[in-house]
Amino acid sequence: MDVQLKRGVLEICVLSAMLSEETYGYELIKKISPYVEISESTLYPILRRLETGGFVRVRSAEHNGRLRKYYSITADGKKKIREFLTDWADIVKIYEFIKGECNEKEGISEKT
Amino acid sequence: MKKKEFLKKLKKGLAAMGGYERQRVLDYYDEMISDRIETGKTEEEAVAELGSPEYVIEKTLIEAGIDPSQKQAFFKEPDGKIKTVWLVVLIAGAPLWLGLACGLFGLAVGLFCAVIGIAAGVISACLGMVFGGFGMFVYGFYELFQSVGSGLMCIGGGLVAFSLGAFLCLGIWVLSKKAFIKIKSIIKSRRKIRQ
Repeated sequence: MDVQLKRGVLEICVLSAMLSEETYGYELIKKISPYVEISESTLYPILRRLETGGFVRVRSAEHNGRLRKYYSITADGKKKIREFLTDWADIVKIYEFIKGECNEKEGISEKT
Repeated sequence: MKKKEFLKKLKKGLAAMGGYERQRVLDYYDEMISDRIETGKTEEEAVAELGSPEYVIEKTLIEAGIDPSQKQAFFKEPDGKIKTVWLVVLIAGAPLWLGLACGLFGLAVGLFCAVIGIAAGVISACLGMVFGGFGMFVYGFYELFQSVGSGLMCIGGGLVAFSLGAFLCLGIWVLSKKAFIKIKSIIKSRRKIRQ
């Protein structure tokens, strides 16, 4: 997948994984991994950006004698997800158009 | 590799990052490793799953907008000590920056003394007017016996000087009390913010 595309999508992925409840780092990796490849070193800058952007709230809590960071989504974060879904509804339409054109005219199809 | 070694390598490799940000990164990976260990993996397995420290360092630096080849802060060695080059520059340039520093200090002291001097002068003048005026007022009564005119002038002039001086002294006293209270409250509010 194109790196930039993946990056933008991953951010929203991470946000969505926090929608139902507050989560911690490793749990985010476990939630998202089945859908898209994500490593700790990829997740960290995403979380950092989301936090400084005000889309995510962080708090530290004690867990088994150590401190663990718990991430939760803010109202701005939920707004960001909504915007993504709206934008992507439009992209899907464009995708269908492109696919339609390719199949009909040039015989180009997606890599299977 | 054990967690401690991994984090140590990370800390070293991220020397170019600010201390606060670097600590956040270290806390993050410390937590990730501990969480993986909790799921039953060994410490070595947990660390291995993160990738090599070099990989993590490079990726973290790139994301932070730091050029990975610039692995340490400009004037520091990898172990955090100041590079000898910079120490030499600091010492060799001492005549210049030390001289400048002394000059600036002297200027500050001079300005401070000037302010004190002016303040002292003003206060002395006012006090002089008070006492001198009073003295002249008293002398005026004695002078009355020599010459009524000049006696009256002395009494009158003395009164004017005395009252003017007293008024000015009172004004200075009130203003300086107000300034003192204001300075105290500024210091107190600064202390509160620091807490």
